[in-house]
Amino acid sequence: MMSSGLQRRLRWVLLVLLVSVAAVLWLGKTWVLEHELVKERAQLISQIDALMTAAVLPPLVTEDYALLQEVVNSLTTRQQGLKEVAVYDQRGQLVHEWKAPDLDHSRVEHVWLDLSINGVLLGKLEYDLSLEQVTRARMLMNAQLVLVLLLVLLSAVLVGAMVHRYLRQRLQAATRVAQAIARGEHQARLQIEAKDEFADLSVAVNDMASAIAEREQSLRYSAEHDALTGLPNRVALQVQMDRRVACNTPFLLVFLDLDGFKQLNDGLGHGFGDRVLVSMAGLLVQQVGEQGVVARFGGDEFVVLLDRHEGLREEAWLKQLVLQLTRPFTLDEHELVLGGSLGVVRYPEDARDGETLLRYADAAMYAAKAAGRNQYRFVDASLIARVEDRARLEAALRLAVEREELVLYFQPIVSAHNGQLMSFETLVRWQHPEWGMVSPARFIPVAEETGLIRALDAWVLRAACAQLADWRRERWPMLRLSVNVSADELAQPDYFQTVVAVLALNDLPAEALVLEMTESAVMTQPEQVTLTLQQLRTYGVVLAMDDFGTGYSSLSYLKQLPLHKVKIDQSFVRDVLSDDKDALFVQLVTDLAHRLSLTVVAEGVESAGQARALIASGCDKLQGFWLARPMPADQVEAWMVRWRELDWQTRLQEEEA
Amino acid sequence: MRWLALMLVVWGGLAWSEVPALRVGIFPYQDALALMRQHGALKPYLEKSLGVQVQLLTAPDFDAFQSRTLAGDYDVVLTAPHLGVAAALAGSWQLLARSQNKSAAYILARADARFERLEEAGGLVIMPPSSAMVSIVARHMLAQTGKPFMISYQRSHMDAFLQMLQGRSSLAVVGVAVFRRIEQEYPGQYRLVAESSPLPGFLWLVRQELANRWEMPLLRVLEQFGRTAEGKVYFEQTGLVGFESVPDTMLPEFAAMLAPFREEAR
Repeated sequence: MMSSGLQRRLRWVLLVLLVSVAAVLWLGKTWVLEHELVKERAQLISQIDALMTAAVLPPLVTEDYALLQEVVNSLTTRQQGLKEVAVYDQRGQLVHEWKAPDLDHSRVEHVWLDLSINGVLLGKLEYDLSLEQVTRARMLMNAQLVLVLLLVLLSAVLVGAMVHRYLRQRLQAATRVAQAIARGEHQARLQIEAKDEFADLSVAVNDMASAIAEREQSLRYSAEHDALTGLPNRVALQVQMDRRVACNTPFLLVFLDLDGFKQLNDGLGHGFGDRVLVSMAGLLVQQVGEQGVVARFGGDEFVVLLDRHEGLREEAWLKQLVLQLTRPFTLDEHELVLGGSLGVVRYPEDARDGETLLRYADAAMYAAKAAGRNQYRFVDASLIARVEDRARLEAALRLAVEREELVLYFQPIVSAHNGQLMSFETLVRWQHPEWGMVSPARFIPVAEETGLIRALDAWVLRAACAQLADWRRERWPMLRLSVNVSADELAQPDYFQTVVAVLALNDLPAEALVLEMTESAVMTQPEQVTLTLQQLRTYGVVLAMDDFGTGYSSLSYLKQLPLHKVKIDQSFVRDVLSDDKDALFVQLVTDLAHRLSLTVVAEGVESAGQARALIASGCDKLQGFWLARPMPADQVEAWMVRWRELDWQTRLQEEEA
Repeated sequence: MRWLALMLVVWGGLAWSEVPALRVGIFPYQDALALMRQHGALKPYLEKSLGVQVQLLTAPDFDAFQSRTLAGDYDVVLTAPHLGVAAALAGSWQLLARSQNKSAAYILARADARFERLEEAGGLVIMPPSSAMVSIVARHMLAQTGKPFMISYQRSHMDAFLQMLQGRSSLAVVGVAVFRRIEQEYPGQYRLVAESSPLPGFLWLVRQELANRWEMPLLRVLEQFGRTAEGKVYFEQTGLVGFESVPDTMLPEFAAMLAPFREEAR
């Protein structure tokens, strides 16, 4: 349907056009009519004058008045409109007069005519000419004009209606084709019926449809293919899997991760890494051939869908693939040796949907990688159990915060010199309604891998600060709390603002909060993290390096980062009495930290002997089960009461005894 | 405006009517319009020269003109020689002047006529009214051939010629003035079959009662007319050559010259 707006506009245009045409015709015709009437009147009078002169002069100059009367009578009979005629001789004397019976002086043209020949005046003639004839002619012409105008208007209306109908039909056709194209029917085309502007429009619409079809094809290709290798991407892979699942066609799903690619990429550059990926893609396509599909899953991960036709020797095929992947090859004058870890699942035996198949294959691939790389591993029941367990854990963890299943535990940190309580480290525990207390060692890695760690960190920070505010307000005004911060959270550009906001919300001074981060957390985005730490230190927050000694133990970071404390990892503390190297490490770290004006905290202290050794090494603060296990908030006050009753030196000795 | 025009006309008419106009009659040897076209120049010239209003008149035909002349309806006439002589002899008119041209009777046939000479012709002859000089002379010439001719009269010379040209007669008779006009307007359509001996031109006569007042002024202005620019055009158009005074001996000479045609005139 043509839009009513366009219809209305077309009708208005037609109406204005018709009125304009009618007005122009009317004005033009009226002007012409007036002009013609004036001309006609002048011509009529001129004709009458000539006729009178020719007819009246002879009897006048011959004084044949009988003939003159006869001539005048004849003239007045023949010439309509003559109402009164008077003829004067050369002396001006009236020689003949004639009056019409219906003489009416209104609407008459009074004419004086000199009867002369070659300028010689031979008499005069006076006559009245009625304008009725002219008026009648004018009215007749007006009527004709109205009739013509009506005919023109009628014709214009008919032509307008035809044009309107033609335009509507063509526009409707164009609309239908455009709607069909919008529905994806790219074969829809406008018929070209005549060589006019609509033909141009039709050609343009048809070209547009072709261009859209080509573009959609290109977009579809781009949406389903990897730009670098030209292989099908995840979307296309899913389509291929769905197609096979729908037909219940058995296939192997091989999840492949290139071993050693990351080092190669970092070492020789991304451009070179891209060419390696293209080369490996070609190798995979060559290996798979017509037996299946190769897709790039992302990064250096590829997925092979291998149709399990009769005669396929799966193990041999996989071994051959691993062998090909580990074969040395040359690229840009570099001799390279890569490899691949393959996780393999079978459809329909291992799972019946694409997503699950991919999860299992991914887990199998990691298992192969963990088992030493350059090998394949089929998924099995135990691996599936682990994958499912982890999936359940992840799902439950996502709901833990909302369901208030997370609980804060606090472990005291005391002065190594006098046993005085210095602060508590905040630890998060997960009290699952069914599984009971879930170990942090189990759920923290999952939280880190899934990105839930940020939400977890944020909750811990808020909850710990709220608890600290309560304690400082009601019991211990100088108490401090340590809170662990993950790499992801620390790398956020607005983390500083988040900390400031939480402290402000709880009306806490900056120095009441100690933030503990690991070396690896700093190394993810060193520049951003360093900036954030400098802002926090400037603001007054106390910063501690956690688990020092287990990672890179970079002295450079110790120097550069605006730290207050270093916490020696418990693995060194555990054997400090039995392992000289650990004792030496503790000694060296403590000396180094002191020289850098850093406080040293030893964590994982489990005995008085360890405490004494650490004190002897110069550690400033101690933390561990020997002092207290992590406890919920409601047990902190009772522990503090007990702790105050104990003498530090006595406790060191008693324990020794 | 209309009333103003009417008043001017009435005033003008009254002013003119105070002094009697000089009524000049022109012999109707052509139709009235042609006559006025050729002789119209006399009116302003005479009015200007004599200081009197002039009324230029003619008559429907020769007979009427002669009757009006004899009845004194004109004050001055320019007329055919035989009529002028007759009027003068009647005593009520006085000869004043004459035109210097010589007239003649011209007998014409169509260009495609099978005869060349009058003696070879026959049939119907159309000529001006019977009292016209050329008609009298032409009848004499036809009689001289000894052949029978039927004669029909038209009101004017030109009418006679046109009738012949349209095939209603084999011959037509015209005078010199019309013959000059025919030469210019109808070349190649006619053939001159016979031409009479020269005849005297037109005569100016003044009514006897007005002769004392107008004879000399009229004679003077008529003689001078040929020296004026409009007069030269006039004589060129009419073929009358000029006007001159009439010698005293002219009347008997004219009578003698017209004698051979007395029979035809009767």
